[in-house]
Amino acid sequence: MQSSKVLLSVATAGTVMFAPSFVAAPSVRVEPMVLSKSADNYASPVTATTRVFSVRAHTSVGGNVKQSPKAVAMAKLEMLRSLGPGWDGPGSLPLDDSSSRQYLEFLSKVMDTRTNDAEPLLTDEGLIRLEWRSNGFSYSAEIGPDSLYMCALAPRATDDDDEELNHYDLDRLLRFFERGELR
Amino acid sequence: MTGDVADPRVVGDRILDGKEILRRVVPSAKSKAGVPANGAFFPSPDRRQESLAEPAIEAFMPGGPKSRDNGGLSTHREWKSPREAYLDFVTPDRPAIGTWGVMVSECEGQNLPTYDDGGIGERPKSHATVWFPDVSDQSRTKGRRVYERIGLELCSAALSRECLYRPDSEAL
Repeated sequence: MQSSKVLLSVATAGTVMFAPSFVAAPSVRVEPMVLSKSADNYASPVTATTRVFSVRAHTSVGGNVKQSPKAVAMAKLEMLRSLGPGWDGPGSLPLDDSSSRQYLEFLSKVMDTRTNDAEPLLTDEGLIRLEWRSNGFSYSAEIGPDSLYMCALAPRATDDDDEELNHYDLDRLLRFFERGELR
Repeated sequence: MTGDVADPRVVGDRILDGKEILRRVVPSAKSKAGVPANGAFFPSPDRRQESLAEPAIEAFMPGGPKSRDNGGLSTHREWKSPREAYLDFVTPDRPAIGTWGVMVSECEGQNLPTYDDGGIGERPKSHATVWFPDVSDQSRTKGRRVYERIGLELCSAALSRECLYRPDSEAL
């Protein structure tokens, strides 16, 4: 019963509403969120049901349930949007609107085969962060309202490299994401 | 007892048992597909330079221009169970996926001292801090890259011993 309640709550919270055209009407299944704490520690029940620990989105194709990576990324972004100040303790900031918009623009240009790598994370400063691995490298990027940080950690630490721009540059981010090019 | 006098950030007693496994609760927003991301294992980087337009994190850092956590990664001592650490952290407004562990010796291997600072200030009694290097004398990107590398190493170590506690089994 409780899982059904969560499903309705998140669906009406706008996960699908915010999905761009490339997401084929996903249904959203939300996984565990129930906590064994006393009720007086909770916000209102309505608020509580919109807070999720992990989100998986699926599309139904010909009766088979098939996961849509972009729907997953969108559902994750919605979860990040739902977080308020203090989501990671004192001082952690909610998602910055500009960072969120720039991430959406980025996501719309990411090939389907790479969407899993583009799952959004949130920094304590309220910025979207990406992390992915490829060919022994660990890559990360942070999208600021007017900044872009890109880092490539190599198999040997002495070969690590990074770049920080004092403006946001979608083309540079895409080049880094697709080809690992920092400059 | 105070901590390392060479580092004014540090308070508390140094943890000497290299085999102790510190508990790190991972927020949902710092995980990918239910697995902790590197970003869950390093504190906020230094935000000294004001030339880059970023959120005013400095507003949350009384007494200095550095980030709010000042280079310290919050964990719990081993005597705190992974489940208790998780339940202490999580609320409807602070979702988390579970508790992972990093060994004191793994931190020391990255030149990160660990200190028991439980009960000091507003820290809970079981609190321990993993102190990342003070990079204020380095260029912004170099210092940040150091944090990224350490985060990767600690995350890899934590993932190698798998999750210590997940709420899944009692969730629904």
